[in-house]
Amino acid sequence: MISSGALNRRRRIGKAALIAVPFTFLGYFFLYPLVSVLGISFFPDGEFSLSSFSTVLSRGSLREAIWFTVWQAVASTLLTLVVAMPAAYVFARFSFPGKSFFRAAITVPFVLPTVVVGAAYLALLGPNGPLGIDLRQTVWAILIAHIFYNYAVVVRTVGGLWAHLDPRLEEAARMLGAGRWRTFREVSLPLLRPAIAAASSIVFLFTFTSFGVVLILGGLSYSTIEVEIWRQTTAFLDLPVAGALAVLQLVGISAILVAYSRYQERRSVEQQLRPVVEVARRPRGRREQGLVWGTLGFTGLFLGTPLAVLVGQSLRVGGGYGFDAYRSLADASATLVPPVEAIGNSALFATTATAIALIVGILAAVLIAYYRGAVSRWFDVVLMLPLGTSAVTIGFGFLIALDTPIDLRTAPILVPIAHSLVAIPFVVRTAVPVMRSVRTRLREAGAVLGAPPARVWREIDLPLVFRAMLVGAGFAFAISLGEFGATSFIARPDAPTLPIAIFRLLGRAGAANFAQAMALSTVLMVMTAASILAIERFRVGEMGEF
Amino acid sequence: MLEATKLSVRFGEKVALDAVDLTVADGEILAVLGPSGSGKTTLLRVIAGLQTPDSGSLSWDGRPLEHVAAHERGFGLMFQDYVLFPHKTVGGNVAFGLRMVGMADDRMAARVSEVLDWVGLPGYQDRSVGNLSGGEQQRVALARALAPDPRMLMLDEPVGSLDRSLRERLVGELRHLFVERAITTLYVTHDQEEALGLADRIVIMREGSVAQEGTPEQVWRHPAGEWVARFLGFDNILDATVADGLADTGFGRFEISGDVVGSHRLVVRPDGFKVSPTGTVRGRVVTRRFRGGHYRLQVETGGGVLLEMELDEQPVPMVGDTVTLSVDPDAVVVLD
Repeated sequence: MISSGALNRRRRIGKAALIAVPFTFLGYFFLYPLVSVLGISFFPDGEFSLSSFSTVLSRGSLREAIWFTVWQAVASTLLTLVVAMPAAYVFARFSFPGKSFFRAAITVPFVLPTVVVGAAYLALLGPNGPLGIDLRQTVWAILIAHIFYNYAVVVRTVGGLWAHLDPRLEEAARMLGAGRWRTFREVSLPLLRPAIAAASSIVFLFTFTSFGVVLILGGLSYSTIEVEIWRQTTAFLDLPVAGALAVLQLVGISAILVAYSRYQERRSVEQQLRPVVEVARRPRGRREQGLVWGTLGFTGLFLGTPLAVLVGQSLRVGGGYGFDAYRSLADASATLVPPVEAIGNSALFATTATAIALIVGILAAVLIAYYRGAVSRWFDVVLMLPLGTSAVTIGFGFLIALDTPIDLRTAPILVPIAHSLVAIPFVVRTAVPVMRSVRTRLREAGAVLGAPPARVWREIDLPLVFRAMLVGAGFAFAISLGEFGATSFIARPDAPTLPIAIFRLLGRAGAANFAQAMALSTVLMVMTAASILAIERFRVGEMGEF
Repeated sequence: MLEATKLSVRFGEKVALDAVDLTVADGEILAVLGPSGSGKTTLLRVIAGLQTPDSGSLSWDGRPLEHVAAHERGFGLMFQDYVLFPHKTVGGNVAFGLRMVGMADDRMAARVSEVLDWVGLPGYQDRSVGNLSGGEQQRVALARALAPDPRMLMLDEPVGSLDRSLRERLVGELRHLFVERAITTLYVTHDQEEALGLADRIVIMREGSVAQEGTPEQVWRHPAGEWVARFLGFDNILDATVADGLADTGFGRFEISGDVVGSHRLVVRPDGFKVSPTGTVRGRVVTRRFRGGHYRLQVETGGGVLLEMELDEQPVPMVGDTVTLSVDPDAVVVLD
């Protein structure tokens, strides 16, 4: 018989151990680099000074980058909303053959690595593209790529709410004499506002911190803050200015997040939501058929063309087609290491990052889901911070912070650690709701039957949470495969990941290098899509709406 | 006047409406009565223009409605469980239809307060619809449908989700309002008491077709067939041989009106029995329930037939008593 005091002590030790692992990990690999970024920008020479900030604000090219970052994010957000709204409606309100396949397919662009999207648009809108127009280094290429990237966010978020809106609300407006447009404006749109706000803030955040797409498509003409941080660090070695830019970007991101959470608290319209099955129906009549198939056709073309062109360009050999570019990936003559090695590097890094993200993420999720109180609530917030911190800032922070107490900056493990930081919030977000949904009664039943807490977790919670963990693992793997921003600071030249190898190839002149970049992008796209499609198989219900 | 001819709607294999004919005269209150799945809501949606029929025609005052969109038909529709706009106040909900016709602000405010008065919610304009009780929501929905002065008002189970006493009071209020304002009304319900108490005319629907049509009295007195009789709550359905105005049921003979002869199925309404020493039907009381104004009894006759009856004259026999009953010829309906 264990005394209750001993039991309590054991529980407290267990909880402390639970906190220690994720706390230490995040403290050293996230908060410490972040603080170092603050340090280098406010204390450039060891003493407090705002000089790096005044440099940022007075130098024309940097002011321009800040202004461009803001307005392209606004424009990308608005354009994505407008372009994706019809598909959101069609997916919400109609059922049609192949719907679940279509739904999974439109998500693919969102999870594609930024480097792949950049490469695909370079292929589509470049001088050799099938459209015959060269939009490289124009803002249009960037905006279109951003719409492509975020299309699924609007369709899934706005469409997700739309699918639950009682269609009779719209019918009620029609019966009161409102036409289709008026019904949309006066009834659907206001009721969809929470989802539109959520989708807008996600799209804004992603495009505000856009790195790979802008770096590849904007060339030297356009750069975001993110690109400037990288450029100031790698090209000009001006770390205080890079730090100041990172701080300004953090302030911007925080402002958006605060505004969004304020908005969420304020909205108070109660809605009667209905199960999706009652709402979706087959299109009837020529008008609805036209809308559904027209929208799906546009979606297919808009999302499919860049990827098809990417694959097409990878198979291009002189005037004809062949696998030469793929075969040449094993050839090291033009590059430091054969590009094919990047595939192995990425697979290894992604596996390691997934393991780290799962271990830290699951421990953190257990803490958040099962322990109520200030510590776990505070932890919940801290865990989400890496999501709001740009990848470039994380990479920059690693570079300037992790030389003490031991110099980790060239350790190969650093790459998967950076990747896992980006992936942990996704793992936590998928696991926590499922853990919370395991009913207390089930656990009590296990306990009454004589199972100690750890046994209850293993026998009851774990089987139920296992699927969520698989989903989290799939996300972590895909994120790590495609991660570019942080990796671009810390990858060793002799151990490039796929995105790094693609970016290097894109920077070289010559058709052979371009074709190799396309081939490598295709490989990366297929690997990412495979891990995402694996997730779709395990996804239960509406878990993890990313 | 609304005229529907041979309306049919199919959902895949399932026939929701099968060649339904229906008219609603100006100022008339027509109730469409039927169990769930009988097609009554589909019929309403077709008339509203929210559902396209597979075949059949629909017209108002002789003008076809096929190519008139829902929002141009000028019909009001009050939905089952109301469907109030959650992002608008009570006043905003009621004013919605008025804004669609471009009414000026001052006239609109006056109209909103007028219809809110009609439904017994004066001064509710600025309330949020989230905080209303079920009965209040129902009234707001009614006010919203009435405000634009529709040429016909349609109601889909408008009191279905309210509790019994509130329901009865509201049905009375609704009839009063419709009659006083001469509102042409199409009222869909599954509840016979509601339909009988409210309508000028009733259409009973079964599996997508019209099973019977008539005034409440006609429907009540002469249900057309066993299905309608059972749906209206008449459970005393008996096989009898009729000769010389007398029906022989095997457990007793009684007079019926009309001049049928031979084998028939009869229904005896529960209010058609009386305890009488000269009665011809004998049986034993099996159950006895007090129902307020009357008692509801089940009496088992010879041959094991159970008769349902409502008795109100004292003394009401007790369970186990043997009783002799007479049957009112007017309460007997010959079904076929």
